[in-house]
Amino acid sequence: MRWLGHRLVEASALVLLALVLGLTLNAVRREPLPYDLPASLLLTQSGARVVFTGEARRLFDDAHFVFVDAREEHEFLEAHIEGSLSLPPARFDELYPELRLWTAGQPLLVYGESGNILAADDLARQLLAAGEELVVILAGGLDAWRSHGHPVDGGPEGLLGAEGSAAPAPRSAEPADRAGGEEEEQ
Amino acid sequence: MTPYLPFAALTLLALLLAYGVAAWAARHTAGAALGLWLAWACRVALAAVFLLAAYGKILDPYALASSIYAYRVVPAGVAIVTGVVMPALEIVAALALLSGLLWRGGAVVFAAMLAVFIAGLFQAIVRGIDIDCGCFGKESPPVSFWLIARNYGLILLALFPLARDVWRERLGFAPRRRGTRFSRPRAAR
Repeated sequence: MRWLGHRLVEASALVLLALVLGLTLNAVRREPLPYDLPASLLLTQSGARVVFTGEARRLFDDAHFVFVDAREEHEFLEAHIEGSLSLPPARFDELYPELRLWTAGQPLLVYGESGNILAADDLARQLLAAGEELVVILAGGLDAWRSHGHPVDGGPEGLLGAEGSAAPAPRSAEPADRAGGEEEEQ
Repeated sequence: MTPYLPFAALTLLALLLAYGVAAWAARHTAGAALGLWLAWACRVALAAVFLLAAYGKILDPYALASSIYAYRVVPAGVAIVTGVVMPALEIVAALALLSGLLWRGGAVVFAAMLAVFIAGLFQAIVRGIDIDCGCFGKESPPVSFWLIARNYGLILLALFPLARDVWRERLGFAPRRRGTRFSRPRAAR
């Protein structure tokens, strides 16, 4: 028993050390994992992974991901992430083929309102079911993006299915662009 | 709490069984060089496995927290803190095992962690939760009985050196409280 007691004290010491080390590591991380993350962001219904604003910005700069707006059209017209396409989950069946034309298998980042990822999660679920391979969801949605001062746009550009919108290209949708980008990476 | 009791009881029983096996092996090699080699091999192998696991997990605490939460045993906050601390604990305990500083504590930590893993895997299988185990970060196999068996193997690696330590003290191979490290009288053989 005494032997076990000593071992438990040693083990507790190690756990304490690990606690300090782990919390410190997280604090100095480029993007610390928030401790109050809601459960819906920890485990999405769609199974899509959640990314935070900093990582989303890197994906934005990489221009390999296509950003997809899961909010209503009128909200999209007011403001959206620069270069994103609008695809409200309610009109998925109608608009998805057009999205497919512009993305051609590129990975997708889906975002919605802040604090409510239901729409984004629903859209991600439909995208994954439709055969998209990589779909991620932006934690905090457009508000988090905007509050970090990342580029936001307004207007009909990127509105799928709208008459005369001519879906002006997300920043990297053209296959030529993409091929070019990949060559540069190599 | 009640639904966890059968899992906890079964895990505890299996742990005792594993300790019995380890203690038997340690008892029979307590005075032999083979026992020493075996104990070191166990410690090094266990530390290597956990260092590898920690490497896969420490880079992405979100993925780890998410896969812990997916076991549907703990609330989100606990899953997040565990996701942040677990890789650090694996590294600290592995270094303890390798360096010899507090190594017994490290072995106890690993045995306890593995017991918890086994309970988590077991409840996931019984409840039909279809998830990846999350053991090594991103490229983890799905939950299965094979993983439970593997974790029992790893528990034996943690328990053997501990059992050996107990037996050596009990059988008088390693008198602890007499003399210093350098003036310790030779054990009677």
